[in-house]
Amino acid sequence: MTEQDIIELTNQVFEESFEIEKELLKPEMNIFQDLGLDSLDVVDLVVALQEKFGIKIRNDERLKTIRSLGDIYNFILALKEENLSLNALHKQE
Amino acid sequence: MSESCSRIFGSLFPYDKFADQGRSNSLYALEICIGDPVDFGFSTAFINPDSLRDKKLSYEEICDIINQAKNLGVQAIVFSGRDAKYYPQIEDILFFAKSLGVDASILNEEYFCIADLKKNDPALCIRHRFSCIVTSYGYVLPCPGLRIPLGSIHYQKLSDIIRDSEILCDLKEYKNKIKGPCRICENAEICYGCRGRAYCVTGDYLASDPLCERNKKHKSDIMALPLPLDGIIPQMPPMRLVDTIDKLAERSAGCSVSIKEGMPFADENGSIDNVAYLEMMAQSIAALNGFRNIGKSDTAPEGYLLGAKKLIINSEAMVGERLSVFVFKYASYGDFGIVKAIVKRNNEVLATGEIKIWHKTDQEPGIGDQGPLKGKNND
Repeated sequence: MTEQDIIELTNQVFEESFEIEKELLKPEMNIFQDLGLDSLDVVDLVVALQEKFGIKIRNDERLKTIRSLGDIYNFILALKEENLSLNALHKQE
Repeated sequence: MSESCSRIFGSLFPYDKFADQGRSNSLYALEICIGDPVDFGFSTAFINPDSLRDKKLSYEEICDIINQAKNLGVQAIVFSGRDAKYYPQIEDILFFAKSLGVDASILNEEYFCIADLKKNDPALCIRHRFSCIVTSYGYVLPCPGLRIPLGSIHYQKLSDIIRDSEILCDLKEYKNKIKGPCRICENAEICYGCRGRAYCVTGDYLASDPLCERNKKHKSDIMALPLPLDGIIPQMPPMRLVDTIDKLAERSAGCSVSIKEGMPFADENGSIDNVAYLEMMAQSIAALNGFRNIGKSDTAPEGYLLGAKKLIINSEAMVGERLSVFVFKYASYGDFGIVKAIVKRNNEVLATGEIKIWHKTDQEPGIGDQGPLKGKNND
């Protein structure tokens, strides 16, 4: 999965789950102030991202630093890379 | 402690090794059923219900489980099941496990002897703190007696199953969670009875062991499902719609509702407003959370219904009918959770939906820290 795929799939989550217009989905947008999410939406966001990317999102410390859409792209990318390295490590063993 | 107490019941491990494992997500021992399931009785094997017979573990999957187990800290694996020693690749499997430094063996007679308890010894079965079982069909179970699937190895990683399991979490916290006489038994520090016996007899994996010699005189103090919800959920009659919690499974529960005359959601014709289904779903998940909280606190845990979506109403319910509500915690994040629910009348599905709830947990919050507390429209 490329970085572009991650951006597109994340944007799809915002369009499908929160009905946010595509034009607003830019990396610098603050998900709370600019895109209008609130703390009650976060669980929906986490579930939608888990389903879209087939990953498990836990109460990761990095989540606390997420503010913008770009932060989410980077977080998903990091999780994907970690999963790949973990799988490769398991196979080597 | 007597000599037979030095080992954990049904296990090759000494008690001292795991006495303080607490809520760790590590695993120290694993049983993998590679042959066909059989029923030798507790501690040694189990019956696998026909409903679980969908896809047997392949050789590659067994090796992958061993690998995952090793990464979780497993030091010993026992291979069980009918004719495990005749499994075609058993030698390769044992060799592979041993090559990873795991003590691997086939369930044998010695293992049966370890489980041989003297009549009044404490069971010392605290195996859920450090071990679990993978069935030949890939289901992860807490132990041979507690046959509640925690997840499937075909679809989830072993580490995720163990980490997410509320049942294992409860069992690891047994000092706060076990109910009834086992909790105040003089052996409570080192024993919590046989959880398999408790589950099979009462339907509650946190009930006191009803077959323990020490509980013979306390049977009336041991609660069994179905259980009325007094003190378990905060709602009081007439707003309490759910009558009992009937069945427990991993992050899910089944409850019963008897629709009575005069119920707040019933109209003059005896038909129930659709919004009552939502309330039934919310009260059922409150029942599950409250049930898990019984041993921990005298008051029902705080919780709120925040919203609902994908609600499908197929049919109306009427006064006099008895309904079943099944709830499953689909996802959680901090104190927020998404619950999938079904309301049924016998086999007929009356309503399905997803509800969003808040209830106090011990988890740390995440992204939500920066967001405003109320909904977008402040409603």
